[in-house]
Amino acid sequence: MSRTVLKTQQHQQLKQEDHSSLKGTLVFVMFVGAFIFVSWFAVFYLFLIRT
Amino acid sequence: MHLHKYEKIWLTFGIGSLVLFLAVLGVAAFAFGQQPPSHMASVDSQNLEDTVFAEPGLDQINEDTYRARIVALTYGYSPDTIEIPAGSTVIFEVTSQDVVHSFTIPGTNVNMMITPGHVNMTEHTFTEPGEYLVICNEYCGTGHHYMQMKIEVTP
Repeated sequence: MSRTVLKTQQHQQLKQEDHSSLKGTLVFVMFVGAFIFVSWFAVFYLFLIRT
Repeated sequence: MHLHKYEKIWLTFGIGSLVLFLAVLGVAAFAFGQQPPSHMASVDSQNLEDTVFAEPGLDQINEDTYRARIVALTYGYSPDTIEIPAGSTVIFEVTSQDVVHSFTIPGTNVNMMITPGHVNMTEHTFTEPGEYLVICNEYCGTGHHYMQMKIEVTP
């Protein structure tokens, strides 16, 4: 019985190490990137219509 | 080198955006000739009367193109009014006889710094008739906020 518990703990630890998700980072980086991208073209559009 | 799948996505996005921005600017500069107002032209600001700025004003170059030579000074422009027909393209050549000014027509891309000793140039096509205000947006002294001239575009 005690052996089984030890095995489960080891398994859980391994699972946690594997679970290094960058999903939140990706979402935020793309959010900032999209903001810069849209702003750049908005400013360029202003330049074009004022010519 | 191992890169996470998401890292590849944002690196591609970032580098791709940079390449796109530079390509747009490159095409605008080299194919359409857009450039900053500084043309590296210089003039002796102490003796403007011995230069082409001795008689500032408007010259007609061809049917619908004009050249406006303007001197910025504390606190105004010489001449203080120019009149052109709608549809005209005006090439502005502006210099300062004293301190740093600017030459700004709100609502257009004409917005340049005017530095003594240099001739800054830009051009604009006035398609809409009306009165255009030119202002100085570079603080030049106590009368800075009175500094202005007018461009009258007649139909």
